[in-house]
Amino acid sequence: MGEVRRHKRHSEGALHIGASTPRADAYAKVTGAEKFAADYYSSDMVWAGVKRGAAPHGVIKGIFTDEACKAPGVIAVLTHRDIRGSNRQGVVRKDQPVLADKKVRHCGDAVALVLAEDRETLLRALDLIRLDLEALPGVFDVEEALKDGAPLVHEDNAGGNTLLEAHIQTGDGLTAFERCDEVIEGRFETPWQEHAYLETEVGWAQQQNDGKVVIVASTQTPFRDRAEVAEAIGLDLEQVRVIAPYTGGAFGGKDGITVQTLLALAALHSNGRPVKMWWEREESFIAGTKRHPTRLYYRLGAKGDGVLHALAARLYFDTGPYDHLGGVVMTLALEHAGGAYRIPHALLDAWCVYTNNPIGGAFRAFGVTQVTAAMEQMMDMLAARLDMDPLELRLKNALTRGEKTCVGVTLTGSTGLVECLERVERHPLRTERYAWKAAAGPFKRRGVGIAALMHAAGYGTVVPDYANAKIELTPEGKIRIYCGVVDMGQGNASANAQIAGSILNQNMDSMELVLPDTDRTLPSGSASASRCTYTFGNALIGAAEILKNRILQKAADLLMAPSTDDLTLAPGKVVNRATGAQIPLSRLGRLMAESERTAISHFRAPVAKDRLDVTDELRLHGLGHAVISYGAHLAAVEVDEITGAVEVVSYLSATDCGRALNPQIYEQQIHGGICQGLGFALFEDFRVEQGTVKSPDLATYIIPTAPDTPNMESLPVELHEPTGPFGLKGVGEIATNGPAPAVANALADACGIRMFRLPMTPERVLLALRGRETR
Amino acid sequence: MRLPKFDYRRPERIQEACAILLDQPCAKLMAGGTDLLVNMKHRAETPSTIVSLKALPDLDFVQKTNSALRIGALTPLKKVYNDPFVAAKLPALAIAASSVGSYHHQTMGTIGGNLCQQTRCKYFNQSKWWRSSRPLCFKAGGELCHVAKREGVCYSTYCGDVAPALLAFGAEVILTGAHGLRQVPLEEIFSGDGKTPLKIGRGEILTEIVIPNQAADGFSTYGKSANRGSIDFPIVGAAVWRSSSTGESRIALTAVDRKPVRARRLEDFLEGKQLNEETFQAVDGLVAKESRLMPSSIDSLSYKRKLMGLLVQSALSEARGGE
Repeated sequence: MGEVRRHKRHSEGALHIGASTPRADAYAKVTGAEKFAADYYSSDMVWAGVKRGAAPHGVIKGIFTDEACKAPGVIAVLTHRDIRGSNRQGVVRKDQPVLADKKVRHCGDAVALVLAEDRETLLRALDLIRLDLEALPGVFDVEEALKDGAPLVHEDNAGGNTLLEAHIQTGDGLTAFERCDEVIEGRFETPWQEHAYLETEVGWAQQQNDGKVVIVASTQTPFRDRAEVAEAIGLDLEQVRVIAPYTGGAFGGKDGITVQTLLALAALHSNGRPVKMWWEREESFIAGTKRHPTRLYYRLGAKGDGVLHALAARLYFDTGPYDHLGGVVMTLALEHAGGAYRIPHALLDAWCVYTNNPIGGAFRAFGVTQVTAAMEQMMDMLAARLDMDPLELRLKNALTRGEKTCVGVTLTGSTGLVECLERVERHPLRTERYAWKAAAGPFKRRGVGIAALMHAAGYGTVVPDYANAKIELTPEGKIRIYCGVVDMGQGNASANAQIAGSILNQNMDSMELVLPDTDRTLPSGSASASRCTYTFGNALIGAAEILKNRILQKAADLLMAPSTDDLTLAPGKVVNRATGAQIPLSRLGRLMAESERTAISHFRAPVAKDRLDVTDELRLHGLGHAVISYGAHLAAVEVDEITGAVEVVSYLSATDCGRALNPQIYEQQIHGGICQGLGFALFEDFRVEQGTVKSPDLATYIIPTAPDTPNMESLPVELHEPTGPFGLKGVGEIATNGPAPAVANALADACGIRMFRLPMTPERVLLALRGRETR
Repeated sequence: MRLPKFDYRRPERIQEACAILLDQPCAKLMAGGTDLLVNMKHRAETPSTIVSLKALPDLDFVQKTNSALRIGALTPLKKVYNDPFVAAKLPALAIAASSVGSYHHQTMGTIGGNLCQQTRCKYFNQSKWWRSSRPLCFKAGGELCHVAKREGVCYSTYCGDVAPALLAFGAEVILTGAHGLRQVPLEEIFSGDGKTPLKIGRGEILTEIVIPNQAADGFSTYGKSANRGSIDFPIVGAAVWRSSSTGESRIALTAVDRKPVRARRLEDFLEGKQLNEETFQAVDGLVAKESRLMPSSIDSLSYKRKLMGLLVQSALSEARGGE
C-alpha cells in the first residue's frame, strides 16, 4: 500500500516535451509486475459479495438472511438496517441506495451484502438469501416514462420520472425555420454501451486499529469516493482513505462508486480483517453503468447556399433508476447538440428520464457521442439534399475562434475545426476516393464518409475544475510527483513525469510517481472530462518551477555561487557553468529540509464567461465550457451486399489537440477512442427487454477484436492552446465521437441507405438495403 | 468465474478411461477443455469426475495411408490445419479448423473435442445466477425448453465448425470401448436431440477420424459467417465438397439445428447438373428445408435462413470457378 512507482529500462537522456518517450507504466504492466486493485490479496482476507434483487421494479416486503447467516464460513450478512449513514450515494443527486431499503428499481440493485471465508461459501450464502418482492409495473421507455400515469421510479421526485429537463432558445428559435430553403428531419436511436474493461469493478478494504477504513479500489474518483463513502455509511471524512492504483480500464464506468461503499461497510463488520470484492463480468454488465441510450429528434434548416440557419432538437436520455451522472451527461450533450457550426437560431429541449432499465452513466465522451452521431448524419443528409460536397458544407459552416456555438458559448480558445477538415481534405483517402470506390469487387460497394467533431473539456462554469500538484526532491535525489488524478490507462502519469522531467531536466529513471491516495496526494478532481493532463499538468508546471528555483538556490548557497544565474539542472545534479563545479541532487536532497524540497501549486481551469440565458440548475450541471478540442474523421468502408457486413477498411482522423506532449500516447488515445467508437457504430448491441439484460456476457455482447479494426492514421493538428500546459488540450474522449457518423455517412455514400439506429449490424444493413424500414 | 469441485482422473490407457466412464455415469471426458470448462464455470455442466485424456498415448497424429487420411482425436486444431496435406488437399477442413474461436482455442482445442462439443443455447450458456431468474431449462435438468416454450424437448444448437467439413468429406470416426472398437460414419454420432447431442455408447471414446482418399479428389471449402473476425461461433457455417471426377456434391451446415446437417435434398438436386445461375436459384429453398431453425442464439432466424442459402451459393460458385 502506498508504494511509489519507479521506472526501469528507459534511456538516459533528460525528458522532453513533444518526445514519444515510452510510457512510464509500460514495462511493469507488460511484465505483470504492476499491482492493480484486483491484485490485492492477503491470507486472512474475507470475500464480500452482493445479493441483487434481479427484478426491475418491486417493493421489498422481506429480506430473509437467517439461513445464510447460519451457513458455515459465513461471517456476516448485512442489509440496509446495518447502515448507520444516509445509505444514499450519487454524484449530483444522491438517489441510489447502497443497499436497497424500500424498493428495487432495476435488476442490478444490491439488496444484501455477504462476507464469507472464501468465494465458494460466498456464492452458496448468496443463494440462501430469500427476498420477498412485490412486483410493481415497470417503465422501460423514455417517452412512455414522461406520460401521465406512468409508473414512478422515485415516488418522492417532484418531476415525476424527469430527473432533469432543459430548454435553450437562441436567436428566433423555431420561427427561423420559416426563412430556411431546405429543412431536414431525422429521428435517431442509440443503444446502451458497456465499457467492457479488462478489469471489472474490484476493490480491497480494511479497518485499521484506529478505526480508519482504507480502501484500495479500481476507481477514477478517489477523493469524491471518500466523501460519498463517509456520508453513506456514517463515517467522518478522516476515517476513510481511498487509494487508487492504475486501473485495468475505466472509460467512465468507474467515474463514481462501484464497490467502494459496499467494501467499506463490509470492512466495518469483518473484525479488522481485510475484505475483497470483485464483480464478475456478468455482475459488471448488469449492475455497472452504461452509456445512456438516447432517442434524438433533429430538424435542421439551411439557406439554399448551404449556410445553416436553424436547428431544433429534442433529446431524450434514459438514465435508468438513478442520476449517477445522467443530468451532467445530458447537459454536455445539449451543449454539443449543434456541433461546431454557426447556427444563429436554435431551440433545444432535453430530458433525462428515470426508468427501470440499467443505470446510465459516464462513458468516454459523455453524451456527445450520441448527439454527434445524429448531428453529423444530419449534415450529410443536408449536403445530399443541396447536392453539395459534405466536406464543403462543413467548411462553410465551421466555427472559428471568437464565434458562438448554437447554445451561445463563445469560443475563446484555440479553434481548429477548419484546419482539421483541411487536413482530411488533402489526404489521399479523400482525394483518391472515386478511384478507390470504383475498384470495389463483385457484390461489394465502397463508400467514404466524414464527420466533424468538437469536444469540450472540464467541469463547466460552476463546479470548480482544479488540481493541486505536489512535487518533492527526495533525500535520495529523485523527483517524486504526487498526483491525485487517476491514470486509468490514458497515460497522464507518464505525461506528468515528462512535464516535471523536462522542467527539471531529469531523465525517466529519476522520476517517481505517487499514485492517487487521499492521504498522500492532494485533491485534484476526477480522472474524466478530457481534463487530466490539462488541469493537473498546469498545476504541476507551477510546482516544478517552484522546486527548480529552490534547488538552484540551495545549490548556489552550497557551491558559494553569487547567484543562481550560472547554475543549471542536469540529470542527477546541478552544474555551475562558470566554474564547472557540480553538486548531486542526492546531496541536495539530504541537505534540504522537507519543507524546502517540497513544492505545491494549484490551478483552476478557465470557464466560459458568456451569460447564458439558462437555469442555475443547468449551469450547475456544467453548461458552458471554455477549452474545446476539435477533429475531423474519415471512414472508408466496404459493404458486402450479400451479407450486409460493413468492413471499415481505412480510418483517418485529424485532431486539434493543442500541443501533443507525447505523440505516441496521443496516438494511443485516438486509436482507443476510434476502436470504442467503431464498436458503438457497428457491433455493440446491449439488449434489454423489460428491464432484463439479454446480453450479459462477452459472447452475446459483441465488442470488436483486433482483426475487426481498420488501418488507422491519426494526424495531430497542433494549434497552440494558450491556457494549456505547453499548449496542450485534452484528447481522451473526442475520437470516440467520430466513428458512428463517419461510418454511417460512408454507408450512405456506398449504398444510399441511412441508418437511424445503432449499431449498424449486418442484418440491419441488409434490411435497409432491401428498402425496409429499420426502426 | 470459478470451477466447481470435481474429481480429476488422468488415465494412461484408453481401456482405463473407458472403465471409468462405465463406472461413473456422471463423469465427463476432457481433451482441450475449451468447451467443457466454460460450461462448468457457468454450472451448466457439473460432472462429478473429469477424465482427462491428456495422458493417453498415440492420439495426436495426422497420418496419410493408402486409403485415407487418419487424424487422432487429440490432435490440436492448429496441427490439423498446419498439416501440408490438409492445407493442400482438404481446404474445407483447414479453413474450418482455423476459423474456430481464437488462436488460443486452436492451440488448446482438439479435433475430437471440437466434434463432440456441447450444443449451445442463449438460455443454457449462461451463469447459474442469470438462469435462476426462470425455471431450469430441460437441458440443464428442468422441464421446459425456453426456446420452444414446450416441455421435454431441447432446441439447443450444434455450432461446431469442423463437423460440416468432415461430413462433406464423408468422414468416419473410430469409437473405442472397453471391448474393442468400431468405425461408423461421422453423421451417426449426432443424435439430433439437443439434450444429449452425441450418440456414442456408454464407455466409448471417439479416438480417430478417418477421411477417405476420395475427399482429396475434388473441390472443397467452408464458409463461416460470424459477428467478428475472431473468437465467435458461427452464425451459420456451410461446407461444400464437389468431386472432380463424378460431379457428386456434398453439402453440410452448422449452427442451424441440433446437429450438423447434410443438405441431402440439395445434393440430390445437384446430381448431374451443371453449376449455373439456374441451379443456384434452387439453393435457398432446398437448403431451408434441411434444418429446424430455432431462436436459440442472439441472431435472428430470418438472417440465419438467408445466410444459409448465401453461404452455400457462394461456395458452389467458387466450386464452379474450378470446373
